[in-house]
Amino acid sequence: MKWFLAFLTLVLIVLHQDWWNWSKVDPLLFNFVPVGIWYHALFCVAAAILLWLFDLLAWPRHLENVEPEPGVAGDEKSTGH
Amino acid sequence: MQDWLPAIVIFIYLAVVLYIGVFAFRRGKGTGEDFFLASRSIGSIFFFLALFATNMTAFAILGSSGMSYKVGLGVFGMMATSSALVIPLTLFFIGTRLWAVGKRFGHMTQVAYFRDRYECSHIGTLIFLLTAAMLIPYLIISIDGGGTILSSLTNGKISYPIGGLIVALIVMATVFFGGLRGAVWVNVLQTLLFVAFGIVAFLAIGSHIQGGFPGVVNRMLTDPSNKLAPTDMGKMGTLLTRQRIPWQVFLSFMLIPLSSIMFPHMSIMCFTAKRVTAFRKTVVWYPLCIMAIWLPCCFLGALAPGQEQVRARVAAQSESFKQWLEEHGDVKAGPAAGLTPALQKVVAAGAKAKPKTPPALFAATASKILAEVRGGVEIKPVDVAGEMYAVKNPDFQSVWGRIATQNSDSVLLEMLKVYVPAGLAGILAAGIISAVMGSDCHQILGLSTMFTKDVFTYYGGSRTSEKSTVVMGRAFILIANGIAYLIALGRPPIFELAVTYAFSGFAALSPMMIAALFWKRSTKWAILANTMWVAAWVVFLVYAGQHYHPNDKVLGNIVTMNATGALSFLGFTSVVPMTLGAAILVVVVSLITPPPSRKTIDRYFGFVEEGAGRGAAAPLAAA
Repeated sequence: MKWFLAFLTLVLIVLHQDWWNWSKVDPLLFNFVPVGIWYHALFCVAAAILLWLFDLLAWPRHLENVEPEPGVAGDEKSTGH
Repeated sequence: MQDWLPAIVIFIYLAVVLYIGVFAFRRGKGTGEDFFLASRSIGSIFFFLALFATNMTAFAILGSSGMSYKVGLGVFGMMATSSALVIPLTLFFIGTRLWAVGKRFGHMTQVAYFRDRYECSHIGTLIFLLTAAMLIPYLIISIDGGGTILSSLTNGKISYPIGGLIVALIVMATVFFGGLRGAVWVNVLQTLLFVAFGIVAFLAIGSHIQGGFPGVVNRMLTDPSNKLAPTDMGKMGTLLTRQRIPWQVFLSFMLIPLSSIMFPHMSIMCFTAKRVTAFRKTVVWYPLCIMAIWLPCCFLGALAPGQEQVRARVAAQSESFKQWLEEHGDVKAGPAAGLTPALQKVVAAGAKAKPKTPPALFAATASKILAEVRGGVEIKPVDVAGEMYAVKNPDFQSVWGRIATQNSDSVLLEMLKVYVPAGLAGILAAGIISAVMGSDCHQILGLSTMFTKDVFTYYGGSRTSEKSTVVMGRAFILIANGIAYLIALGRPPIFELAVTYAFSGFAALSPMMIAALFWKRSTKWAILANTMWVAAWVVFLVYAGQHYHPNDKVLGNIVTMNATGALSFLGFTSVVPMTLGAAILVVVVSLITPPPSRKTIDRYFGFVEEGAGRGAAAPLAAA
């Protein structure tokens, strides 16, 4: 699953570069939104879906039960050596 | 009254902010952890809204539209959607781990974590000095932004110094009384306001523009003469594409969002969540909220050059142009003599970029226009700017474009003034001020937390009580904000330069954070090397910014100054060599120096691995 999510992330990084739209305006969405804008709006939606998949499939559940180390009560006690 | 209406709306908003801050004060417990971290008690919704407000500065609204005005709507992809992917990923991996070590060991700052994780002391102090030095300019810029907005919206009825003072005082009072809890509560209102800003501004401006958005887009695309273009970089229609942004620059910006988690106030926010599950909703909603703010701002900014009225008003805001108009007393003294030093500098840079454009050509034409517009009566900067745009000579326009876009960050404010009724403009301006203040609150509180915990408490040892910690935190807020305000009054340009490079600096610090959280073998010498590497780069970048001019060669064709005056490395921006170099340094230095003691490594990785081993979800915490 880890590799699948890493692969999807890589795909999104490549899709983000969209060099094929570099000098294009068309197709104009609603007759006034250039492709450079609406493509990246869709990219944001794709990023949200990817993060949702991360949350669903790779959430670090083991961190949910972290408790303070004995001796750490509310404020900072570890101040280096 | 029209001039005061936006100010009245903003004052109502500021009063609400102040009330929330004071109300939070009543809920405080008086302990250090409560003042600086709200007792690590922030729930999911508040955590998301506050983290977002912390991260979004005025740049998200004013800077994004201003940059789109100059280089087109590619800014949205370059800066916003790269952040929409990378920032939530850093929160998912780094933020959750930071939260866990904060909860486990009681850390309140990055420096406290590094000191304990690597058994070091003075290296932590160096990290404090570097991160504080890169953060302080933001305070100054925030106050500067607040003053500019209030002054601009009231057409100067509220002066810049008074506007800046008002914003500085409200921010100071909010965090002085309410601490982090006050900042977070205020952030909820602020995030809602500035997320709504983009959508409302888009609808309000779109409904008032002549011909609507389709009309403006059509005009920009069909303009063959390029006479509407604000710079000489191409035809007007290119603003609706990414043609004005080199691919190397676009790619470089994928690394910039790594800076987000390394900003001290952002990592401190990660410590405040009540439960790690607060990150779950945050990472999913983050990309959508970034889109909600940035998309309308970039779109409006890119379309503004197609509106002559807006374009002339933006040009009239150019500092060197205004100064020239004010000081150009005697036209008969000769054209070149009339140019002020500031304007001469811009003209000379333009002439260097386009050798055909002698400064004298610009000076003569500009002076002639001024004499004609003047006609013996009062000069209106907007009228002169309009005439400047009407000159057909492309060489003249190449220089004028540089001058006219100097203060392009004002483009959205000018659009509000032209197209939106005064009352609504006030509400929208409150949204912009929210973006300024939301992050400003956390920057100043972050600095205060770092100074109090990493210097005052650390070196004061056991003598420092809870009460004295909070007193010191509050005193620092007063002093730091006061100094920042005084510096902002002078408006020194070096701070703008520092802010420009701070993003690259914080991004290049991320390798050491990733190594500390996920790589057992990393060492304190590696984080020292990373810190010194970034410090040296920032000094070099600020030096180069002051001593080289656009299109200068710094090191053959490898290191050059690009057309906008930023350092370029084979076309890539400075963040690329800085971050890649830092990552290599961290790996190499770690491998040749001794790691921390086994006991410390076990403390920091043992509790994570134990948790993962208890049948939890697949651990991403590969050490």
